[in-house]
Amino acid sequence: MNQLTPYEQLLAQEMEQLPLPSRVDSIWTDIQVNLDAGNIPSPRSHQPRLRRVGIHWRILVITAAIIGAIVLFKHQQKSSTKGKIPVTPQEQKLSPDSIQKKEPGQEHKEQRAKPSLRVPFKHDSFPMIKQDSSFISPSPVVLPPAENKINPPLISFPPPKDSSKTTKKGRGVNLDDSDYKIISHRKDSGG
Amino acid sequence: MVEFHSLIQGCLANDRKAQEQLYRELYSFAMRIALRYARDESDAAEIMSHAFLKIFRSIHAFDPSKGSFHSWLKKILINEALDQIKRRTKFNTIDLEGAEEPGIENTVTEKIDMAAIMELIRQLPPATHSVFILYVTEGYSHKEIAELCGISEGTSKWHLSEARRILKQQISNLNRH
Repeated sequence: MNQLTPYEQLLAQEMEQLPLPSRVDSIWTDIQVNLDAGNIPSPRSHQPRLRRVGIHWRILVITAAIIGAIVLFKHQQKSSTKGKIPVTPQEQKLSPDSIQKKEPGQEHKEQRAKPSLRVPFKHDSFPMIKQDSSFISPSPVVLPPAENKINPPLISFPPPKDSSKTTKKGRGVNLDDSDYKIISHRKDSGG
Repeated sequence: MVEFHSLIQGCLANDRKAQEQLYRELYSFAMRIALRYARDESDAAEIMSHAFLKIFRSIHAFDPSKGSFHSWLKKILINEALDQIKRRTKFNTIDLEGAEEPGIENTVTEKIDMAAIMELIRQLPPATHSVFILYVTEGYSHKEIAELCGISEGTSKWHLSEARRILKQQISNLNRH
């Protein structure tokens, strides 16, 4: 038996005689409504904390999974775009067929527009090309053809007859025989 | 007694009239318990409503060999009341083996209206209030209170001591005025 102080004993006795509020009908109406609705009063009453924690954990895990999926998806997208963008121009620009078939004039115009094409011509050292290709194409499928395509032009292109002319051509400052022709045409038409 | 038994049988058959009759029979007994733990009448009404719903839903779980229907109902009511308090507040975990127990002289309390003391008890922090009621009016031991509230015995002792300290202070304040 608990040890109670005298006032607590009195309090316990008094509590048995508390005046009751007249809410019999209103409470019964509430009970009846819930019984009709088939509501289970409070399923959380038995293990409230466990259930709440469980729900919190579930939400946290689901959120983490969604974020993880998004990050992974974005990362994959980035890596795929990195692989795609540089590979296509390399294939198109540096393929030996496309370069060999071009006329000297066309080649000159393209070099002006896209200076990236000059890289193999200017720096004919292999490590430089390899660095670019490894940065550009992460997939092993793309790399071998890129190397194969880059190498042949370097070998197959004939060395420039006049070394001073070729270097200036690369910058697009020097003039050709064909350029002289164009200039003369303009003057005729204008005059 | 026979009638009470037949009411339980009616509730087992999900008879709405039997349910209503049983509720009305037990209203006074149940409401007094609910009022001890509630802050006000509407809180008590909520405890009652939830507890009786539980009773009607799980009346098949009542085993007369384990105890009377009244003690089963009382247990459900107290659990519901404690759940309501737990939803509102958190039981602090304070481990105190020996708690100071301030007492109040009976002559002091006799001068004050019992309703006023009840109001002071209701103003106690919810966790402290429920431990005080469980110990003083229900006669539960600290071990039982600890199990019911999910706290340690030391915490239960601390809450009782805290309730006594606050009440002593409040009652002496009332007495001065």
